[in-house]
Amino acid sequence: MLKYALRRIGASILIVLGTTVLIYLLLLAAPGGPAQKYANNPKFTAIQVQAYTKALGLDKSPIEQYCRWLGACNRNADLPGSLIGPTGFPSFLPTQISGVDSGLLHLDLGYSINDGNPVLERMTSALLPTLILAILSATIWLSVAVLLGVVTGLKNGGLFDNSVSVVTYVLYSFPTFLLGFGLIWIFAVVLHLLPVSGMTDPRNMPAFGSEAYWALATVDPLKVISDLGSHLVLPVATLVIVSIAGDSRYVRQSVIESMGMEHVRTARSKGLSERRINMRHILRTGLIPFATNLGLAFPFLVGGALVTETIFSWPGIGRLTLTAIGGLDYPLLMGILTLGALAVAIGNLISDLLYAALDPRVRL
Amino acid sequence: MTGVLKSFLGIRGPKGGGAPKLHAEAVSESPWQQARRRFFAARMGPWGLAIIGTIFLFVIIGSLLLPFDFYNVPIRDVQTYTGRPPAWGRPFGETGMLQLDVMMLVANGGRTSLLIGFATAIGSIGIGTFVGVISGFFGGKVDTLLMRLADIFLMIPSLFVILVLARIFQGSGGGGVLSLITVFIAFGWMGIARLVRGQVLAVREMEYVEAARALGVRPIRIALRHILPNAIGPIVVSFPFAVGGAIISEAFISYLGFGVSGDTPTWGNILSESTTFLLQGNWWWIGFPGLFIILTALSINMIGDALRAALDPRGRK
Repeated sequence: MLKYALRRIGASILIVLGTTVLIYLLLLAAPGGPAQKYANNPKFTAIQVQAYTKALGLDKSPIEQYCRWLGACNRNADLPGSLIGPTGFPSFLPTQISGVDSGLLHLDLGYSINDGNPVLERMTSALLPTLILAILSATIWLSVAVLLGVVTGLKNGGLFDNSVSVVTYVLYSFPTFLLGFGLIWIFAVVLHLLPVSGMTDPRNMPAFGSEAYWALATVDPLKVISDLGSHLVLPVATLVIVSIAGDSRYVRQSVIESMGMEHVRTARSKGLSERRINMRHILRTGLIPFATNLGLAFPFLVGGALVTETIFSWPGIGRLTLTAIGGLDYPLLMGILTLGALAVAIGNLISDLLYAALDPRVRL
Repeated sequence: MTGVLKSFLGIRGPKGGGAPKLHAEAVSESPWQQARRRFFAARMGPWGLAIIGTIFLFVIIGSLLLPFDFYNVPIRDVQTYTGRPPAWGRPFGETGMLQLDVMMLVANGGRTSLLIGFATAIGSIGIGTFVGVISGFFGGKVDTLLMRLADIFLMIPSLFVILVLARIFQGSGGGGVLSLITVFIAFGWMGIARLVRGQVLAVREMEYVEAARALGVRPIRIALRHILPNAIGPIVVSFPFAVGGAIISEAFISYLGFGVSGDTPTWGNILSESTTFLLQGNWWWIGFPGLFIILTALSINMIGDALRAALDPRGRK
């Protein structure tokens, strides 16, 4: 098991690196480039364009650019000399040894070309709102989906199952953004119950994450929590409704499948009570596929719900992504996409390991 | 005697049993007839077809009947800046700002949206099938290479990259329907390629294929005539889901303003300014295009599930 886990972790790291190379190639191959946005600016002379390209290192070869982004190359030299840091050790080693402090391997993702802030700083400040939204909604949706799926699965064909099936079927076809608008219209515009969007009330609250906000949180935590709570209701509801529709159908299906398995028939012929059969024999096998699928929800926790965050102006990673795309902020895009690829890889890893741990048929 | 034979063959007689009729025709169905019967037996199939058919009629005929004065915007009253609600003569109401007729936008936008949906589905499933057949049929290094490529494409968070590419194409003067379809196809072929490869691997070593090979049939003909028909089920089933997925993605991307540019209306980009007006009570601007998107997605899912019931060999009845 340990050997399998280590091998999978090694493979995941390679896959993430491969994905970053691919994304880099994609951005390189696409028309335009960081200097593109000044192309039609008459006040931006050719010399300035040259200086800009040089400052960003765009005059280097693509391989060297990627190598610098990765941190395996020293920023102050050209290939192949840049592979060695100022202290004489290879550049990819930690900063204390190699003396190189730029690049992904040294936890530096460069600077946003639109506002000059470090990419990592912008990403970490967006991570907290995303985590709040994602963890809360994932907890609700996973527990409700399991409950609904198990109940409808065990009593499939009944009135409750049929009505739930119809509702989830219709909701499953709802595009997330339209559901979000529907909720905004009903609860914010018509009923005036909840705020339309954002994370805090701009009229009487400081912006989320600012020093004033944390100060207020220590002075008057109740106010801060109720404000945050009222802003959370609609985005959480959107995410929960959209995800429950698919997941509860999935749980229902696997519960129904495990009900027909032979070990359940054996348990029944042994004369076990229905309750015991349901809890120990059907649910244990029926929920394994869902548990292994949990890992696949992981990218969502970090990457954020792009669609929902956009509709509700939630200042998380999803919306940061959109800002980066809109402004063609290449360093920021690279950072976010790397985080996304890392999250997908970790999610797949969790799901594989869970599968190996939970399913007794898998022997490693 | 006939009854015994029929029950032996698994063909049921007329309902209610009773004595077998004389001159009863021996019922036998081709696989396609069987699939068609099961498609219509599942109630969802015909309903889905009816809904999508109505939408098609509305979008094709409706866009011809309604005046399309996109560039000819009359000067309107400032009082009705947020658009007027549905009424006689404008059943879907008016948009805010330019005060265009929402029904006209929905009809004309639907044409582009459905075009994007179907073109994407045809393209991605075509490429996916091609890759899958090549990969499964030739095996070895070709197979490894193509499947690793599919793995890498699956690793990339596709919505992010599609948005980035759509934005870049837009920046370079594209912003057209074609570039969006291209991007969708580039990130839509992997699933079907894996599926088809699996099917091809399953039938490649069967006796009838071996027989064809022994008869000296050319590999291309074996792949097209003997192997591909056996993989047709999953290909057909995935088609409607691909259409629906592309329509929804287009709607969201164009709503954000990264997709098809505004002078070609789609169900997505006609919504791009609508949110500000939603807050002022203009629900019909989002509501009617939204209803069409949802009904399209729903009916397409229904058709897809009915097709799955009809073509899934595990569920043969």
